[in-house]
Amino acid sequence: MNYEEIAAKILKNIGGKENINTAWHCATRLRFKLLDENKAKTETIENIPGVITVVKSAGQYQIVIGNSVGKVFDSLADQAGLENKENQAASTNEKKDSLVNRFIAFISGTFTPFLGAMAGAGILKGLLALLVALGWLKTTSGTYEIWYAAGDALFNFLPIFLAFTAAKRLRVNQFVAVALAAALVYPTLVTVATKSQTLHFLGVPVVPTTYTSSVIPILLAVWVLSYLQPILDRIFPDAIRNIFTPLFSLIIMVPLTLIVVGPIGSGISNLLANAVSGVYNFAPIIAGIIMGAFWQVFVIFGVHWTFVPVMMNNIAKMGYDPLLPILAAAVLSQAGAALGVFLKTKDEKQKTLAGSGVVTGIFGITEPIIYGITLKMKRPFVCAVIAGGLGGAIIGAFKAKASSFTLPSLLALPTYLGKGFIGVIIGISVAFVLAAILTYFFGFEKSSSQATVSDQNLSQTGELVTAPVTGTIIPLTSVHDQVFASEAMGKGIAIVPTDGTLKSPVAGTVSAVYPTGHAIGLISDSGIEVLLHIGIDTVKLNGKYFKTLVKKEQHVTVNQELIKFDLEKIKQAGYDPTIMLVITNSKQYQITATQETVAKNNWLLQLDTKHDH
Amino acid sequence: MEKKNFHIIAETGIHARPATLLVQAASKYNSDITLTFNDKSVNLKSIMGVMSLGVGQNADVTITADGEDETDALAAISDAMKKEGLAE
Repeated sequence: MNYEEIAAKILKNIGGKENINTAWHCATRLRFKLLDENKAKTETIENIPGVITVVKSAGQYQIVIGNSVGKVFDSLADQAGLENKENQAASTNEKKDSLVNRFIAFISGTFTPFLGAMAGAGILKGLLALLVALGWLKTTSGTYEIWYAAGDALFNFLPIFLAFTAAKRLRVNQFVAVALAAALVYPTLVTVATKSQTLHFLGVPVVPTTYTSSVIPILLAVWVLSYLQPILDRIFPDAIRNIFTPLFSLIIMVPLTLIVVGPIGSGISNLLANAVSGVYNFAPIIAGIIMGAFWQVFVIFGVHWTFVPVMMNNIAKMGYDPLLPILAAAVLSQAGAALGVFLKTKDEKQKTLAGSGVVTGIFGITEPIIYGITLKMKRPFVCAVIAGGLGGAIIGAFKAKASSFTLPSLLALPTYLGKGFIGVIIGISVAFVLAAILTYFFGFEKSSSQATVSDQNLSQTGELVTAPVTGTIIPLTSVHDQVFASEAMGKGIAIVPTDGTLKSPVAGTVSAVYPTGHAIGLISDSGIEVLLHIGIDTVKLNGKYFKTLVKKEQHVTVNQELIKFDLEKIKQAGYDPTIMLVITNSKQYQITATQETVAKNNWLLQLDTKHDH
Repeated sequence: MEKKNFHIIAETGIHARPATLLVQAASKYNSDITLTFNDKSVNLKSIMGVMSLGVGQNADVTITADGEDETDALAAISDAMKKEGLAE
């Protein structure tokens, strides 16, 4: 491919450099904001050899190139004399941005399926705390104990829930992941951790860490499992795989997680707790800012645990702890951010979630808010951090004290009575109100609401259809075959392949094979009809360059090899190798397509069964 | 119930493009419409079904329509078959 030629032709037909407002690129597409899209000659551009197709979406004029987009972009930037700094920044920002964004999106994505349950449990916990505070219920009563378990179980065993959803996303055996999580919160291990005894695994010390209610450790573990499982699957033959892969997954992963993740988490935790305590001693305001702003961040990473013994120790030795009241600011700042979202958002679901979040937040439970709204939308989280920091500073300045250990919330106010109480009142009010105001005015970005729409579509536990081949993803409507592009056969997606193995995108049965081997029909175990068609008009090749590896009625698993085809020879013979994946019974589903543009072992489509109204 | 036999002359048989058009034509009608080939019958309103039959050149198929608009349905499908060069 002559990148200069391609770039030159694109530049010429896009209206010249004068028509370019901004230009950057992602993994597979050149992306432009043009001053006048009508000046761009789309048909001509699509016919440039090297250009796969043109897609217009999200206000951008996108030219799909494939893997070598970087080189085309560099040449284009050169020829157009685009300011290198700006565009380098644009593409690196996209990359840097993507890593942080992807991290956050991944974390919040693992929570979305059970957010409703979490919010509900949170409200129950809050109600119970309220009833106890009002004196209507005693903590020693059976009623309280049972309802407390009902509300707290989800939070206590949080890793199990996260393991389930993360495993689904990463295409790992969900039950192995859950077993792994359950092992982390296994009663005997929890007792050991709370007693701070050190276990030894084959001689290696295992630092006791509490994994209950934690987030990052289990996500890391499932992520590692997603690399381990395919390796184990390859080692064990089909017949024993079902048992041996889980067996070895558990044998390896549980100790690995306990040995590696535990110490790292505890180490960071210890450092933080000691550092902040030290800071408080000589500059309480600064400690107030740190704790008020970053407490919720510590909680996300699970490094907040060693603060607890420090606080309890303070209460034991001095009769009070100065750090707890500051946390109230952190908690209420999240509640305030939730209020801001509640008032501003027009999305029904978000409004309800935010509203319930305000309530649970006031009672001290912030997980539903953080994972359901503020972290996902990023800006509200930042607003909460700022407000929390300010509130914390005030509380620190007044040297407020907590006389006993309680979950920081509005209900814990009685424990802050005494010197500095005014500071607490002012501090948490500031935190709450400021967070709400900041979120209301600055918490929303046009693009973030676009992102949340697609995130919310992922909240149902729909069926995922994964990529059958590696390559560049393009919309089905862009393929150069009217029958497919018009979606007459159904909705779907297309991939311009970079390798010659077609793998099954679902688990199901082969419903149709063709002697010509260029297409295959599958019905997934859940009833999704998938038609895979390799290349355009390739039926004319009459089977040359295609080899079908499966038979009709055969049951296949996800990623099982279906057809091998000679990509190069097909292209040389002059055929467009684009692979079309069509859901022929798409009318029954609400289909969400991936935002990614590179296909490699990730999901392409999520199908949610439509419910009759 | 009405049926009609067709002899497939198209080189590539009932494949993607023509299959889609047949299915679209059939789906417009209320009648139950089936395509039978080699003693196997499928619903002509489902692409998956049609393509799974693997009807090739020189195949003999029967299309059956059963319902209020069976006559119209068969006529429309016949037309489509001819237009697409699937059958005479």
